[in-house]
Amino acid sequence: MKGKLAFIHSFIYSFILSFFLSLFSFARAQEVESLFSERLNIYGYGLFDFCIASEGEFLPGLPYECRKGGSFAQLLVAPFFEFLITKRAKLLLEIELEYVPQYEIFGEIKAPKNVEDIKDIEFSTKGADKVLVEGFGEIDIPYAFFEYNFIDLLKIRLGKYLNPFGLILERRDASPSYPYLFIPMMYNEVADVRIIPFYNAGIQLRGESAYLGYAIQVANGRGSVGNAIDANPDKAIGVHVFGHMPDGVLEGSVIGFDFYTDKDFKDVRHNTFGGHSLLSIRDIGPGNIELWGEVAYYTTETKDKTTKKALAWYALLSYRYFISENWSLLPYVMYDTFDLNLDEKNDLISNIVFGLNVSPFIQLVLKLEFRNQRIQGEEKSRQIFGFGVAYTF
Amino acid sequence: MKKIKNIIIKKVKSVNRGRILGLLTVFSLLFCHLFSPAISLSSQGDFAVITNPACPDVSKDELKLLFLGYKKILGGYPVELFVSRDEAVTSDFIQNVLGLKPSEFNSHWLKRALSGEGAGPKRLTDEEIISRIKNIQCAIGVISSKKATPDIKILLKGK
Repeated sequence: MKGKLAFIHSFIYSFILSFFLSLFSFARAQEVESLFSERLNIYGYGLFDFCIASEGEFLPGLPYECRKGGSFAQLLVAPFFEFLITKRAKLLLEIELEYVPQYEIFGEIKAPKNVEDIKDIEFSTKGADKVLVEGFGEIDIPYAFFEYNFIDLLKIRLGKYLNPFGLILERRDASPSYPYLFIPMMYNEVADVRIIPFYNAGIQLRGESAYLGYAIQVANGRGSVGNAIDANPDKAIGVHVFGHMPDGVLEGSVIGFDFYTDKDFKDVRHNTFGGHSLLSIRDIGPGNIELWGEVAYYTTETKDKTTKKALAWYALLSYRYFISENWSLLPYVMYDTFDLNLDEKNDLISNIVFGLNVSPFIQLVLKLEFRNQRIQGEEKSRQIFGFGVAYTF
Repeated sequence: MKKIKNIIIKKVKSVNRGRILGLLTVFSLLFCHLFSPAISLSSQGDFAVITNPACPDVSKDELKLLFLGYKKILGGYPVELFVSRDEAVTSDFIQNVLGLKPSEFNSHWLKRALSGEGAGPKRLTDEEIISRIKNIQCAIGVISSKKATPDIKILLKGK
């Protein structure tokens, strides 16, 4: 009798299991791209994550939820609206509903006391350097641009965009599209050092061919409100050049170089030189090997010629194992380091990261990450564990 | 006493047998679900790459660049791309012409779309693709070769 009961229980459980797996199979049929109408495409991504650290809070290079005791982040939702004006012209808008409003973290925004309204800070070039966090609040707009496509090698973008820099800055928060759960430190502000601003407002020329691509830009540059207003006559200039393999065993491999320079409201010149490479080797056993590497060398120079140099780099090795046409596993190991001032000691931050991505279908990636973070000069290292559910729609 | 022992042993055995059978059912269902896409792929779909007769001829290499998004203009015209909603047909095209797994193709377009480059080829039914191609000067579509009509240009056929 009990045997029968156990069998019935197993049958019920397997039915429930198969029901949920069927949902995955159903979802596989959906597309990342969704055609809303002839002229409007809506698609996007999101992330829900949890992070816990063995000690401390506001850990360098990590999001606010990584702290002792742990915290869930609010759900990140970032829809793209692509308006096709003609076959050559489009408008692209991305709205990121941000996960951690600064108000809740700090209790207040650090702003001059004599300013009555937050708008006074945003529209005043004098007060611009006082707002410490770029893109604060719950809503962020990384992309709002008009693009016209002349030929494959020449497109013009006018508006606000994520800076074309390195392998991932143009998809900074789009975690379903890269292996790590938390992006490398070189892309974040670490102890008031920001190697490259997230976005810019300006003009960008870009193009692509079978093997080469580029993007050059003239833009407002750094500053907490540089995207909205810029009274600084020294505009930012950025160059992003890359080569990629469209075919063969190295399909998807990329190598490129970056240069970015701008001046902030304190008349400090910021220069960033970057190099990035992604070596992708296909069909090694049942999957593909990828070796990622990026480096950024950053200098600042004040009016009285005081200079500061910083260096950040990371290397990541991953293996994507295809269980079936859609299911894949991607274990990876990464070393991520940031030397905040090359002329000083005891300011090197380094992370060793072990992670795993499980993707039951292209629209969903479950991410697990464990990292050991060490700050030079500190006796103890700290351990951080995070998991996330990244999705696209 | 022996009788009671035998009854207990029999009951334990029957419970275990039930559990083993149940576990086997769970694993077999899991196995079926995991490998169902691979099984569905075995039903090969013959594909045809079609375009409007007014559109210039396209080589296989150019097709690859177009469907990966590296090329968007053909003979001075912006190209619109469509792939069939029939997964077997589109999968065969992706594997045989682009040399990628369908998940790699999707992942490629995911990266591009989320970098501001725009969405990938639109997925429509074969009939919708044919109708669009007849009305657009330079559009390229992948449909089942059985659905191809004589008034459209076939650039490539394959299995």
